[in-house]
Amino acid sequence: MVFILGNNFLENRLLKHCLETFYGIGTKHSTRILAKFSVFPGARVGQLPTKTINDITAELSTMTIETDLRRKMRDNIQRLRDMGSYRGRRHAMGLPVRGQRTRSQILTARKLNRIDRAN
Amino acid sequence: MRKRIVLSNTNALEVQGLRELDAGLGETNGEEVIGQVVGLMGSTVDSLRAVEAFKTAQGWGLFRRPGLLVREESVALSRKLIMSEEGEMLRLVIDGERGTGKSLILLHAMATAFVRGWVVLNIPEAQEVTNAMNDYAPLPGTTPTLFSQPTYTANWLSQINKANTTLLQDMELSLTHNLPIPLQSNISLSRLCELGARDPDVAWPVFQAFWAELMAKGRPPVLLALDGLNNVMRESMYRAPDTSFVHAHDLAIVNHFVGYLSGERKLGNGGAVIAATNRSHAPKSKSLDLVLTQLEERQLGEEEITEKDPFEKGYDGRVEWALGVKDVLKLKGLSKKEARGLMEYWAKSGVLRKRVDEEEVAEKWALAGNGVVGEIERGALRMRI
Amino acid sequence: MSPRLNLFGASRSLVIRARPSITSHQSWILPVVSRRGFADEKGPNAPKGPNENALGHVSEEAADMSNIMGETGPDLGQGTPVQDILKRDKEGRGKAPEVIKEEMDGNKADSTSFANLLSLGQLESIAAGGHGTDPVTVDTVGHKYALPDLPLPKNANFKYRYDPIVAQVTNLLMKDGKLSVAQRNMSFILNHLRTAPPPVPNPVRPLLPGAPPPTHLPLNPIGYLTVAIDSVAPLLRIRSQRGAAGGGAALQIPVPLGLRQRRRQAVQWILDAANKRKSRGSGKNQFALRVADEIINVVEGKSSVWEKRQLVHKTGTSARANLNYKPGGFRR
Repeated sequence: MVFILGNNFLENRLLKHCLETFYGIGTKHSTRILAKFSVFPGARVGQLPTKTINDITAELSTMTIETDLRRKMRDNIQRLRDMGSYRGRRHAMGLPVRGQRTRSQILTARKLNRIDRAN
Repeated sequence: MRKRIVLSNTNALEVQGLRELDAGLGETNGEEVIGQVVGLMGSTVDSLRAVEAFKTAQGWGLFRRPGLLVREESVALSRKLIMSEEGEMLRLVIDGERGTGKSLILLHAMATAFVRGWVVLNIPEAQEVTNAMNDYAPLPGTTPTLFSQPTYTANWLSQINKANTTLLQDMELSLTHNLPIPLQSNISLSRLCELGARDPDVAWPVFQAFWAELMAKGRPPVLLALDGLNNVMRESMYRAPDTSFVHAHDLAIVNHFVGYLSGERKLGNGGAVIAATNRSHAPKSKSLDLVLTQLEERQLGEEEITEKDPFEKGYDGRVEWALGVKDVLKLKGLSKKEARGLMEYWAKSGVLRKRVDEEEVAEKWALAGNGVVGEIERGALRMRI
Repeated sequence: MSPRLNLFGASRSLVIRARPSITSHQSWILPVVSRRGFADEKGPNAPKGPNENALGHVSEEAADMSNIMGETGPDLGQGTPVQDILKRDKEGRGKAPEVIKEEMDGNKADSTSFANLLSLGQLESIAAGGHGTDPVTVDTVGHKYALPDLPLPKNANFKYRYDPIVAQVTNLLMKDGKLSVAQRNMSFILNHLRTAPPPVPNPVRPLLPGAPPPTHLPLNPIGYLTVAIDSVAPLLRIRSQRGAAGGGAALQIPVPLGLRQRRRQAVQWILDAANKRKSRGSGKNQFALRVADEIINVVEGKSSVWEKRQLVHKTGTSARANLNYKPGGFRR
């Protein structure tokens, strides 16, 4: 087991995939982090030296990811709501925000759009 | 990738009176061997196997023992290699259509080098160096930053050691080196390679020390070979810290090779740098194609040399610099005599069950695009046309 | 505004025209020629056509001249090659194309000359272990290679380039119409048979009588394949005739099989057995490897295919009384 930013990962997992499990890190950021620490894309977390793991953890801790990112997003929605803007209202009502039609297919909006949005 | 190379078929017949590939080819004998198949000696086979010169799809497993067709080009290459032992080092690119035997000419060069007592360093698949399947690390204190590949280098060192053991065991350190590991002063070069192969972290400095020793006075000539030149004449799949792709020439191993291929650096004790292109599954490189075309046209003495396409953006200045070679060996199909020699060897091995006569040879030769050897083999041995 | 229906307008189409409104573009045929009946002889005094009166061309003139002078002139039936004319015509020779000039100068080597063929034949006899001075059979004279034996065999076609059994097995190996993949598999199978150790046949399961000894099989992979398939191929199949045995039971009738049918059945059995085998190793060609191993097992008598064959033969033997069954009932 390898410990990265409070999470445990199996040793045979690709580092790239491990990074992408964090909320707020996708292909782009994972590629950037790998390049920054000169880790090749096929590297498994078990093979990496502890120093690299520590560096990566340090890098991740400077990034707005996971809870920080979620809080930031919620704050943004709350700000819209407090202003009383249309977008804020739509978030509160659980309806599409960006002018999509609402006759059908608004499942995603119903699922996600709320003031204290989870993800 | 698991590669299983079978070099012998116990069912195939032993070919009587098969000549061995010896040090004399290109020196004492030459023309009379053209079109014959020569056997490879046991020690040479072991060395060639260690440097991964045999590839999976080359059909070694059909015959009793590995044999090599001597072509006109291979005799000429042997002569050049022998000349380069004394004089200027040979820098050569082997090119040719798919299936014309580029890798086998490279193998011939390596076999010749082994029987003549050279040290051979081979990069069997350039693709494996550049496609980001091995770990890498920036080398401190280099501008532009070079990247070493610790695991690959360590494997390479063990390969070099295995292939050239008999030579390297007799050579002792002659220089003083500043290495991160403690080093006795009287160890052999073979031992030095072992130390490097054991620890990937020090593999690159050890390789540099090993190379400095090889370049010292009184050492044997060196053959640096690489198969799949197209793969190193472009950006690699590795990324620099700023997420841009690293140019293959910024990888330490490739940089080392290209330094000698371009003629920027010279081999201390003579020898050769030979690269073979790959034409079946290889990335396109505009500059590589252009330079090879120009070289070939110069060799043929044509008056009009192909010029750069002014509207093409894909040229790469570093590739043009790296290919500052004078020689290109453009392989074409076999001559009918060579084709006949090869087919007779197949028939003697019991693998080709046909009477080999002028008509049969002419038919196979013509169907194989005027003697493209890979296609002859396909048509005659693989039951496919 | 004119009335919509005008009877006068309709009558206009009834006008009888004396002359065609469009002039015919057919060329005029000379009346003298056209007046000759089909059966009439074209006599010496028959009127001549428009361009029959002109002088003869160069060869005709030359032929006439030589006729008068009593020499052999050009053969009019053959036509004169340009080279012959140019030989006489010095002025024209300078303006002739380069190819013809070269040919007339005799610079061009003739690749299919008699001398070339003779030396090719001599090379052949040297290669066959003889001497260069041995007499050469000149069946290729005039041709680069010997002429084929006529009439051509029925399968002298590129579609039948492979051995019949190889072609049949390849087709049976094919999945989803992918012939190329099947051919690759076939080639792998044959090469595997070539490199595998020679089989050790089981005396309980004898191979085809007249089969080559097992040590000779690997070097003849097609023969190996043929021996394996033909040895396990069943001689018959069992046809079930419903309701013929009375009481709704099926009557089992043995039916003899043709050569291709027998082989097909054998290959199907081998493929079934191969599909049940476990792959050893990994990578490409696992299917082909399993089939090849099954073929070796067949020759060694270990394969389950032999039991299938035995079962069919046993059933056939016990049901031979039903051979005379015809759709109408038993007839003796």
